[in-house]
Amino acid sequence: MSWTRRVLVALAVGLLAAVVHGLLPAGVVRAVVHDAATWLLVAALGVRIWRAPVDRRAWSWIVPSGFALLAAGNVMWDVLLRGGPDPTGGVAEGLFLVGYALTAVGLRGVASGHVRGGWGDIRLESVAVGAMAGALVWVWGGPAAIAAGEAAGGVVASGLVALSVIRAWSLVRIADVHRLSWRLTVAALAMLLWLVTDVVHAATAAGTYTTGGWPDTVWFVATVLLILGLGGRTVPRTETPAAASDEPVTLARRAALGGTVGLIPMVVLLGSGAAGRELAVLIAATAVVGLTVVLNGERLPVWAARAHRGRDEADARSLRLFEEASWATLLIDPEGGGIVDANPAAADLYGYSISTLRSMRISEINTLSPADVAAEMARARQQTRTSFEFRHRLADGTVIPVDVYSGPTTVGGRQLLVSIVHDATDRHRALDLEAMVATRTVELELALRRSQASEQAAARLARVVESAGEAIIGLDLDGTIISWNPAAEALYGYCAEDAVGQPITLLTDPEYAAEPLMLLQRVGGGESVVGHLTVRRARDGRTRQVQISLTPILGPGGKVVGAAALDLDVTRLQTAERAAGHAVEMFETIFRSGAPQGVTDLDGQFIEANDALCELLGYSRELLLGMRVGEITDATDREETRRYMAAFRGGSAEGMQLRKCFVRRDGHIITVLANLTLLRDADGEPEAVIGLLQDVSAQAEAEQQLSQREALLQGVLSSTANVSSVYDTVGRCLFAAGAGLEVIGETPDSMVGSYFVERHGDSTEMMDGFRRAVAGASVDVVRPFRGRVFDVRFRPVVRSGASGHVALAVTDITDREHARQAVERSERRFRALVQHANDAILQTDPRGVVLAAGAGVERLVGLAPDEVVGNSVLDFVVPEDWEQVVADLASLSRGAVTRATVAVRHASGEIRQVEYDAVDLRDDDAVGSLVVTLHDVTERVRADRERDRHAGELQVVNQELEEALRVRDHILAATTHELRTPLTPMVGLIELMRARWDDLDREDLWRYFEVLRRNTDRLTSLVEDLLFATGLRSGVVMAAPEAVPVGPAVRKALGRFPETVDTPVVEVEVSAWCTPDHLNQILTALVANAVKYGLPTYGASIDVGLRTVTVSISDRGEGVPDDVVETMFEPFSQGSTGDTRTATRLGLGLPIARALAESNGGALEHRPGPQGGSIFVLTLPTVPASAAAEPGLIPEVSA
Amino acid sequence: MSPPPQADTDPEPATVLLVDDEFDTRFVVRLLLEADGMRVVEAFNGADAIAQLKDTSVDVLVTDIDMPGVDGPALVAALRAEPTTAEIPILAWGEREPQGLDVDATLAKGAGVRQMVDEVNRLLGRSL
Repeated sequence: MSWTRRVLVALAVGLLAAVVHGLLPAGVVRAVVHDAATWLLVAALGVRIWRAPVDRRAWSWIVPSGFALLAAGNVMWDVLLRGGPDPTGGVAEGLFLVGYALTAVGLRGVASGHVRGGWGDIRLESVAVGAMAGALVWVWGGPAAIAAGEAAGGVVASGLVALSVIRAWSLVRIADVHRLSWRLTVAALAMLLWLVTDVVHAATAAGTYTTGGWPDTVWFVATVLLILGLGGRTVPRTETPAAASDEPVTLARRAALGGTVGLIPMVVLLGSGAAGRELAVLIAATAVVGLTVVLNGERLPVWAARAHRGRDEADARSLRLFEEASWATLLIDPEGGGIVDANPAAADLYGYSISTLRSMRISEINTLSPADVAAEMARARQQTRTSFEFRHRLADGTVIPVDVYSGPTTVGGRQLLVSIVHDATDRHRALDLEAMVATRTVELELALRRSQASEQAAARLARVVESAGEAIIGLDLDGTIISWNPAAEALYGYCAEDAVGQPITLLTDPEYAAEPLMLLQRVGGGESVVGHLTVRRARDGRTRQVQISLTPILGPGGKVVGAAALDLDVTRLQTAERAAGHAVEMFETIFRSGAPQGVTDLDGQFIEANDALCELLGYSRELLLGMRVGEITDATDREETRRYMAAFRGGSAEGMQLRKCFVRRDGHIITVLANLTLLRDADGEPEAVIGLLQDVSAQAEAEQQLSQREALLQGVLSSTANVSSVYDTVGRCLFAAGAGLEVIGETPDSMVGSYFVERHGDSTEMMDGFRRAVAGASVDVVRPFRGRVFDVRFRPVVRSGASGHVALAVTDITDREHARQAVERSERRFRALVQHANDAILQTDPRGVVLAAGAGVERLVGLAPDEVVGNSVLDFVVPEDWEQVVADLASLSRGAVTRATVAVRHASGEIRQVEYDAVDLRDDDAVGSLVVTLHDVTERVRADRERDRHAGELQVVNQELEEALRVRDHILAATTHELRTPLTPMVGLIELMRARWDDLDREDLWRYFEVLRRNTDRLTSLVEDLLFATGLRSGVVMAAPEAVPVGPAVRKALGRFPETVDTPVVEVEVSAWCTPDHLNQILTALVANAVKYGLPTYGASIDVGLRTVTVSISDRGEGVPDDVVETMFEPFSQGSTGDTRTATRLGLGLPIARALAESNGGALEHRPGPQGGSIFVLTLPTVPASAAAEPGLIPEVSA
Repeated sequence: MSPPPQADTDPEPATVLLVDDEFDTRFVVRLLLEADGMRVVEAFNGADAIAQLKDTSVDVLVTDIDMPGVDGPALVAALRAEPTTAEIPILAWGEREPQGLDVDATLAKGAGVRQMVDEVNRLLGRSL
């Protein structure tokens, strides 16, 4: 159906709707139908959006949302507002107005998005703007209009008209972008109708016009048309191109559209029979509509012209391609780099949705810096570049190499860049691969340097050179002369024998000595040197001005191996022109004779080609000179060709060597190595490219065949093989040779023609190996055969890509096998030794995992060998020793022995001490592991500990003995002191008495006698103490208690010491039940102690308890130190204090006193005195009642 | 016992401070020294001796070694540290002849009381 017909159908539907509307009764029913139409529109738009394939943004929810609000407002308006004031307080009006604005702004946004991508996204801003616009209009005039109904209402209506204009204009624009699809055209038409109703409403509100209700009809018709245009399932964009290409919209059609739009009110007007004033208003409305159309119409010619051009030429086609193309395409705004549009393939490539791509800039994708991207785009726009290699970033962050072809295009009247993006990952990979292949090829070609082909070429060149009339000198790249023709001899005077083998500097003027090598360096890089003027020196010493042209000589593989030099003597030439002419002539001589060569202009157009090149490519020279390089280049190479030609054009390359694939005239593809050189004109500007080609196709093929032959040979003749044989696919022997045949009793004749299965059918391994080799696999098998052992290697023989034959390389490895088995046996024997040895022997790996264990291990750790093998030795080592074991094993160097002692836990829980020797025998073929020998040293360790314990005891005894000896020494010293002390005054007194005997009176003598007696008593009691102490230690102290008066005993004791004679005694007449001598001894000891260790004043008191008598002897000394309190009642203890004063005291008094007190049923205590000093308290029993009854035992009672 | 006649050349009797914890020893030694014309002041230990020295000028000091309280060595050290007493000639005697003391003469008690008196005379600068 044509576009026009569809529009006409739509108009018919509109008219039908108008009729239906006219038949409806006015009032609520009509209003409901009216509003239902709007709701239908909303639903249709929703469906549309839902079904849009890729880009829902174009039909953003904002438009249907606007319509929905519009409809809601209308419903309220129709149902509630009809015939009275607004009961909703303006809510209905508000909804209506906001909806109105949303539709306008939304459609405006859609239009923008489709045309420019400027604020193409309908985002929240659009909603906000729409809502704000609606609200503004409402606040500004809405409530006032409701209240006044008149003037303010006109303002509201004007706002509505403005919005309506925006809306209609936007839709027209959308329709335009979409090549005026019929649906959008209808929708645009409907919008214009709505505009009409809005104008009428405005007029009504302003009070300038009253209607008979016809705007309602127009509004309804417009809504129906909108449903028709905006709703439905089809997506305008996909059907657009066809419609566009079929039906270009012309200015005439636009005018027709405007006219139709303008006509409709007239038709309606005539139908409604309106009066003059109505007519005037309608004409005014029509004028507004016309203005709208004109506003758009002014633009229409421009749009139409652009669209026309685009449609007529490539625009439509490229748009279709754009949508449908399988290659990723981007439309880019060259100004800001924003992506205007992208096709589905681009979305696939980049992983972004089309809408996301449209919101991006190309700089977000390209990994070049934004400035670089901008520069590239500028070049693309100016068409200085059309192809780029970029690296683009995908949505998932990966960066891929891409080839981008970019060029300017005009879309919708705008200059854009269209970029077609190819993922070049594969090509890059292929290029890498190709580079590898190329490298390999070059290597092979170098290997074939002495091939016949190049020899022929050299011979041909040589003939040319010989016959040439000008001096032609062959040089290698070092500058050594390798050929010398008769003309050269004529020029320089050297004969060939003299010149060949000499350096070219033979000819150079000293001033130019460095020149030849510089020129050769250029030639070595593939360049030709044309017409270089220099000075040469001939044999006779005369200088010659010569003009030199150097052409590279290509060796096999296209590599420059030397240079052919044409030396033209210009000394005798009249003009430089002539010299140049000669040079060119000579150059052409070479050009025509050697390898295939051609010259192209900078566009690749052949301007010269030699016979060899024509022969190579299969074209006549005439044909070739009409062609471009690109035309005979294989597709795979074209791109590169373009690239290097561009490089030459730009002057950025001087020369290059590359591998090219040409398509011969007969269709064969040939591979050549091309040495390309840029020729520059007199001004130094790039002019042409000269190429020297080397056909490497034949060489490559020959090399491939050679390598296949080599592979075959290698497969068959393995250097170590004793027998080499080849079988076909069915297993028939085609070939057999080798010394090994004899060993198995075969000959080549007996082998060839026999079948594999005859000899090896018994071995599934061999048969399987053969089958797999036939299938293309390499298989190695060890095969015992006729008493020998063979290593059999099956190798598939690949020929022409098809597998089939199998080569067998068989090596007699019997001896090796025997050796290996011997090692194995040895190892087995060792294992057996380990397993059956009585000693605990383990084989472990370096980590301590047990490989084998002997029976002795079971005795040691209580685990059977199979429980140990495979586990770590740490399983039975106590954890405290793990670190040591691990360290020992780790540090074990090959062949060294480590000895250590560890504790192992027997399965019973018993801990045993084990000494182990670990040795690393991994290098020993017979062992191949660590060997750990374990010795149970538990008993030894126990004995050692016992010994240590005894030694400890002995030490204690020794210490005790030493202490005893020390005590003995102390006793001796103390005894000496104790004896000496009374002896000193006795001896001194005796001396005095002897010296002065005659002078002494009786009183003196008595005093002296008393001193002597006292000290004699001391000596006596000392001896008694010693005797007693001996008895005390042996526990023999016999008590024989009787009643002893205490007071006299105390006084007697005090009387023994002159220091205490004045001591007051607090006396009670009482008797104690005690052995009398013992009481004396105790009291003497206490007083002596007080005198010795205490200080005056001394005190003595007697107290009577219930059954005890207590005697306290006190002094005012420094008291007894704490440490001495502990020991002073122990015999011979004083020495332990280390006090010099007490070191010489025997210290027997107090111990004896206490022992005596206790043996008599009493006690002796020490307590510190209240004012310092000490109090010794002797407690003794009183006389028992039984004893008291006996006469003589009653306690004395005296005054 | 009557005191021995004083020598004409030494009208002032030398004073000897005798320090010993043994009453009888002091008694006998005093007798001997007084027989030689010396005045004897007694102290029963080092602390007592220092107390005596406060109000008595002493020409020679004789001290026992082992004594309760401040013993002989402690007494010697105390006297030598005090300038007013540092120059007093000291004779130390004990069970064994004392060693390592900063004294003017030493003697073992076993050598006899007579020898001790001779030694005191020597310290007094008298030749016997």
